[in-house]
Amino acid sequence: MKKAVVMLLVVSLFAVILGFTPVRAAGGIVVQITVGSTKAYINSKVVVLDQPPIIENGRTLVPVRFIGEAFGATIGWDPVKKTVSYVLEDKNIVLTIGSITAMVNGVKTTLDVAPKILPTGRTVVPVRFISESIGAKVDWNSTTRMVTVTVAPITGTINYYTSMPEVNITALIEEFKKVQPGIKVNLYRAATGTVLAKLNAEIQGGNVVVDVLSVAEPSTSILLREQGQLLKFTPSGAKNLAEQYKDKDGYFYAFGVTDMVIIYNTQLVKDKPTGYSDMLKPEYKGKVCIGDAASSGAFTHLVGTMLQNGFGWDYFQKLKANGVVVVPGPSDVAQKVATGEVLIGITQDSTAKQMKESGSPVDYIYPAEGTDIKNCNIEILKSTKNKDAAFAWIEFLLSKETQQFILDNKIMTPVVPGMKYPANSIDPSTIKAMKLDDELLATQSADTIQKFSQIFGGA
Amino acid sequence: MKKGIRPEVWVLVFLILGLTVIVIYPLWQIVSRAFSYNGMLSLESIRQTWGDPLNQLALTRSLTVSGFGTLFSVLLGSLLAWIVTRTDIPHVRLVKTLLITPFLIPPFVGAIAWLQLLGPVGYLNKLLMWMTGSGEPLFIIYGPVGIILVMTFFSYPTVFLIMCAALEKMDATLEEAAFMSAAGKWNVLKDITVPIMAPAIGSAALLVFSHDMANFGIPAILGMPRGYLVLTTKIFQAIQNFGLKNNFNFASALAMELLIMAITALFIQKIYTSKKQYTVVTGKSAHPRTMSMGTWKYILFGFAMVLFICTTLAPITAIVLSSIIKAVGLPPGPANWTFNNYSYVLLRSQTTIRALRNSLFLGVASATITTILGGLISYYSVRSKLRGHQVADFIGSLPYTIPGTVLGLAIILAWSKPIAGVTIYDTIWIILLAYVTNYLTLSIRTTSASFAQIHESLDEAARMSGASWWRTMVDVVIPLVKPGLIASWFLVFMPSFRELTLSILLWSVGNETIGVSVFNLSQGGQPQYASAMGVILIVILFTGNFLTRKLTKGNYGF
Repeated sequence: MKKAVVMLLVVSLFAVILGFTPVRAAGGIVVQITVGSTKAYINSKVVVLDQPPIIENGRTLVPVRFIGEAFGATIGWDPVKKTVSYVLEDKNIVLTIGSITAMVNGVKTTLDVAPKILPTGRTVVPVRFISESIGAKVDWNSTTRMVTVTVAPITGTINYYTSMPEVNITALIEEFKKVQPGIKVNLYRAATGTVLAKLNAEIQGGNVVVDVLSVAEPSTSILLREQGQLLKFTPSGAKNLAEQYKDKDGYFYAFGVTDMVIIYNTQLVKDKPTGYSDMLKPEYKGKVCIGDAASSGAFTHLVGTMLQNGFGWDYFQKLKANGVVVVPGPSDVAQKVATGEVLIGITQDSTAKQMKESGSPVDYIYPAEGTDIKNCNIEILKSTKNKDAAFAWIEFLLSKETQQFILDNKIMTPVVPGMKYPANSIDPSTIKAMKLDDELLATQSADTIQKFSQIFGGA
Repeated sequence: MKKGIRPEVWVLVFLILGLTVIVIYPLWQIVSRAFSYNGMLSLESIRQTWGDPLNQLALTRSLTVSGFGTLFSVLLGSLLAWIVTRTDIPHVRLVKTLLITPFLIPPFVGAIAWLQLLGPVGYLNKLLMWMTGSGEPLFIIYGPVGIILVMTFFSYPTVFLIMCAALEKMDATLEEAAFMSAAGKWNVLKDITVPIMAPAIGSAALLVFSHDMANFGIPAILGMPRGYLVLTTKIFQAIQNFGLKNNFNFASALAMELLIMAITALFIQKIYTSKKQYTVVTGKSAHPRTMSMGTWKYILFGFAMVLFICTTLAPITAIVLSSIIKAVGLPPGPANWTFNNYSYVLLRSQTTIRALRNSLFLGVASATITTILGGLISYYSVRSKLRGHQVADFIGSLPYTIPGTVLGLAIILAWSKPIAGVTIYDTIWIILLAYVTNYLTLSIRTTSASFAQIHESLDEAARMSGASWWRTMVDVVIPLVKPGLIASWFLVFMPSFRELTLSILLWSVGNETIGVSVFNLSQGGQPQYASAMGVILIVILFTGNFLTRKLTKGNYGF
């Protein structure tokens, strides 16, 4: 009998932790919990608690993990200081067990009742305080002793600037509309260089209009962070992301990864290339193609990464001597290879895959010397006027469903673990990656671009 | 005599104030940044950029391609205008229509089409290679030769239009007198027509030269891939280098070079034309007569047709072929044809219809506003005795000399903040403002060429008969310069409708233009969609033009 109870407790614990998806539903979130009852509701769906809410000092306390995950917050526990941290997007709440003093984003607040650890081992926290701190509405029904916490559906508009291909982003926005019909995403899509020039002009002009940004060059995020332009936040899925996909300070996150591959024309190239050194071969003279590091973020990153991996500027000098054609970006490289104007070039894997699938005579390989596996970062500008909509958009992009969609439509490689890969796809862990240090790349990017322009701009 | 301030003074004050806001304020953003470094007043930005040998090389290259491009455009455009207005070639109206058709092709679309024709794997090169058995492409379109060629093909219609308007209005009696004195056709052309047309030729040359120097699209597509950089592509690179401190300052310093050159060219033109007397519309004579060319007229007709095929038919064919291909790189045979590209662009994409509407509005609005504003400025520049009348003309002509990219950024810097609570940034109005600022000079140059030919005595006759300034304008001046005004309207409408460089920076959701729409499609890895949009655009422009001619009984339109 005891064993069965323990099993039940363990199962329900797992159900609580893994059972529900903490995504802001289209109609907002409504959480209902009743004092003394283990049955709770999230948007009318039943959830079984392993610790019922209690009342103390006239205040209702609920299990912190439940109230955290219901809204997508990240819960942390410091056993030394005995503090519980509750982080939701840009709200950081720190409670100390047994203390009525709490910190909300660094500001001291006094509570009516202290959080405590119950004999069951569960930590409970004041529900009204937590809920109102995150902007939710709290209602108490004294007859049924039910607490209802409501987060209103989010509405509004966000301006999203990106260098991702328009077709891919439009598809994602269409999916987003189904989940968050009240939010309108205004898309501005252009090459990395143009997006950054526009952003720069807005910053210098004193009126930044963009809310969310994602360009192909990850070190841009670092530069913006250093300039103090970004908003610090923690999406709900952040704790599941590997370290390499998030900023150490919490200012930006990767929502996909692209690899730079070598693409070649299948009709005209007889010997399949194997790596970057093939691009220097005399048989490819005048028929090699790369993108301009000055305008394409993807190539700024590639050149910087190659420099960190044993390729000096002399590689690029030799490339120039081999008559390399320099085009604005990865799509242009792929097009020139497809038409046969050049035989071989470097482009993004998503572009190569999509072209191959639509019938163009191209194929691609991962360079033997190592592949530039590049984060596609997304960040929020500090000046944003609609934080909640921005958070919702990023939550959507990092959700399991969207990441699977991104994988299925060959938009990028997902960053969230647990994705279903198609049968004949390459296992990402088998691709040899070049080592890269984005922080270092950021400090060098201006010089990289200058040097690149000097080599390729003076023919 | 009426007491009080004459209306001319009010109008002039209004013009200068308006220009200060529209032109001086954004340009100031560029000038002030060129003379700053690390936020302080300094010559360092200029020293670093002007002193860089690569930038100096870029400047030389800009001058080279623009110089030759202008020379060829002026020669070609003037020759064609003379053929159409002064000779008796057959089907003259058809020829005139066909020769202006390059206007109906968006330059961005055109450059791509030319690449598809004459690029290393272009249709023509492949054909030539097959015919001669050569393994390498015979014609290299990348580099200065290709740039000059394509620039000429796109600029000559501007010259053609201006010269046609001027030639049609020219007093025929001078030529008649020469003929009656037994001068041959060649002498008449050399000694009478050309010298009188000099201000018009000067205006047209100046326009084309400024435009070529500020052109970004053609050198970007045909020069950058081989490392042949000009000033505009260098500025573009500087602007995009986000991590480089002072990069806007460097870009502005380079833009100053273009600005200085434009000012110099304007001065030269002013000095040259002020020395001579050019008024030849005296209200006293009939239409110029056309000369009989004998059998030469068929040769000239053939020449015009060949030109039409080269400049219009060939690129259109190339782009139509590209629009129906299933995927990039497949051979253009019927096996690979599909209409999917059109169905995506017309049905699935929400932005294209909206873009068409926006571009139509922008085209009409900017053409109308600039013609009125430009006409007023020209009138004052040419006619008024008030001091400072030339200033308005001068100021209005500056923005066109700056690359669209730099002007677009200057406009963002100038107008992104709300003014008196009203924000135009992120709306369609900032795009309209940018167009008016940019294209004002087209209207000024076109109308001033016409105003210059009307003798003051016509104005004075009206005033002595008691007409007010307003009446004089409406009943005497405007009807005489009507061809110039109409030409100006179309000259501004066309580029506004299909403009790209400014709108790519200033557009926002719901305010896309056709140019932006096509560009985004081509950049996203779907050149077939871009080609399909390009074809649709060309069809619309041709149809619109055809309808205009039909409705106005051939008086307006190309």
